[in-house]
Amino acid sequence: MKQTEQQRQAAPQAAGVVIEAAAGKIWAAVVRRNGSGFERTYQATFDLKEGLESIVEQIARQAGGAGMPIVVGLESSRLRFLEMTLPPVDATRLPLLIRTQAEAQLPLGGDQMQLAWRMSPGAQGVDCTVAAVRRDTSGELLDRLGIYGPVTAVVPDAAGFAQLRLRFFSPTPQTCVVLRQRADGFAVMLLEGASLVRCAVIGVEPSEAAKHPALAMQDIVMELDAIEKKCGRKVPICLWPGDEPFIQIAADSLRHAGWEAAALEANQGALEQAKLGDQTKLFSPSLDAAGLAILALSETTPGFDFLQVRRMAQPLEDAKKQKTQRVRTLGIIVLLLLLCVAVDHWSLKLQVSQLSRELAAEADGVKAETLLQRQNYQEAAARARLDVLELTETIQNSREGLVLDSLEFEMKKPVKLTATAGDYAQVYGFQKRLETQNGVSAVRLIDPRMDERTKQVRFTMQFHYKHFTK
Amino acid sequence: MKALTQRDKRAIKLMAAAAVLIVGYFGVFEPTLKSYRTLRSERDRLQKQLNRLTGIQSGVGAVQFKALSERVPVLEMPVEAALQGVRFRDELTRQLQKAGIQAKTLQLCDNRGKRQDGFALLTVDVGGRCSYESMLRLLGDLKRNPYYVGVEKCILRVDAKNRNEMTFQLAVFTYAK
Repeated sequence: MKQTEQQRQAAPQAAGVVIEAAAGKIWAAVVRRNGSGFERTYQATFDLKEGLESIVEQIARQAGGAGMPIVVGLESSRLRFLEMTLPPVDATRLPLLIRTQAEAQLPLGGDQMQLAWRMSPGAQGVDCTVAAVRRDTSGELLDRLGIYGPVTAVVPDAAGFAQLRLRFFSPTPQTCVVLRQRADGFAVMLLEGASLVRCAVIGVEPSEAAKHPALAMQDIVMELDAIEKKCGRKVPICLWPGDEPFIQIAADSLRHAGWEAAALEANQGALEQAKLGDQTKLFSPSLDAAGLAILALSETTPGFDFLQVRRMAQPLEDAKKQKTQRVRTLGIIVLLLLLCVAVDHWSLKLQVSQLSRELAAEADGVKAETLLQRQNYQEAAARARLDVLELTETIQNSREGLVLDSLEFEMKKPVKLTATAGDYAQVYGFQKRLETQNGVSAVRLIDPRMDERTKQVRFTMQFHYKHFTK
Repeated sequence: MKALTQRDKRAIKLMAAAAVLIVGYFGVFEPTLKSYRTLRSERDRLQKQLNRLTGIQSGVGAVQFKALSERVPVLEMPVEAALQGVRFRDELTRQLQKAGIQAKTLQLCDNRGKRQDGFALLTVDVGGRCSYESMLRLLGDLKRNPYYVGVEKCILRVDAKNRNEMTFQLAVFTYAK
């Protein structure tokens, strides 16, 4: 459900969620209005595997704030900020223009990244700072997030600190750079009032940085130079927490290089009143989550809102229309499928009845069914019928001078014949000729014996004939 | 009453969809599929029968049918065993007489319920003595017996003294319902 700006600003409480994809965790905090200030009422850590949507529901359930605005913060170390100048163009053409320029500056295709931006009037057109996130873990989470669901904005997590700076820290210039030590490195944030303008995270372990400050300082100075180029002047730098070893080294180094650098002091009283006091020295993303919750309740329009960009690409009406269209298309497909099945079924029935009619038709007073039965019977009889004449003819064809004495045939037994020949050669010749006859196989000569009285050879021969003897 | 969360609503929707799917499957889809399969097999069976009938009019089917008709030129569809046996025996007797063979034995056997090709098997055993030509006449004429199906046994022994004479033992069979 889309929350209007008025509903958001009037909400009694809101939630902030920070995604730390590298740690596989999600930090959440719920903040409620307390007079003119804010008070944290809930904080929790979740496993990223549980899924953002499920976690959002859990937060709403556990904090008793169904329907409250929720701002999601993407870890700034996964974001890349780009500067570009755009010609004054129609707002509808902006996304394409920004994407094209981002593609030119980053070694990624348009479909491999998600973009969000913040614009300010420039000398030559419009100055635009673009935050780009690769479509990996965080990007996929964003893709799955309903753009008109309970989450009202998806911004860099540093946007939370931008809210905290004005409320819970000692006064600082309206526009300043905050160098903040985090668990995963150092964040260099350019802040303008309660808004984040630009952010970079130098990914060096704080303990390592304290040992070898030069390398970390090199990266920090590069980012500060980029900020100086963008602002056209050296912006004052606030460092927090001021008592950390590297932060002290960095402050000295920056001052030495001509920057106006001072430690940022936390207002412990205000922090404790908002029940945030215990987190100040822990660098916990929970603090940023509380800042994001305050952002959700504040009048500040969040910059770098990835969700807003997606909404621009797909307005609510369009989303509804698209959903309706999808349902309609699905319905039509299902309907067509059902129609196909019904037509096929009907045509099958038609075919069966047509065939039945044809087979039931009578020709010369005889039904097709009767004819088929006769044909089946005829085939069965033909299979079972031995043509004895054909068998005797087969034997006669091979005889050549032999005298046949008997012929025995019995179903499933070899054919047996006895005969008399003039000599053995005649017997063997007969066997060979018989073997070549069609349907005859496995010819065996059994007991050929010369009759001394008649000087003739009497013998018995067995063979298989077609399928009848097997 | 506590309002339903999105998760609860989604679970209810999923359960409802699953219930609809299950009921739809067993109530509509499965019976339709079964009827569809029955119809298909019925259609295939009828089509096969029609193809057999029409196939004998031309091509390979016609050649096969001609060969079949030569092997079994006449036939009567089998009837009850008692009637079929008598008809077969009588026709065989007539054929023996026509061939000029005086059978010494002629007996109809019921084969105790033996079946072949889905039919009861009835055998007639004939034995006797005849000339070579008579036997050839009988063997040639057998397929004109509309009840005759095949030869179960055939033993021919030529008389050593008169080679034109032979003793024979013939068991021919018919099919009955």
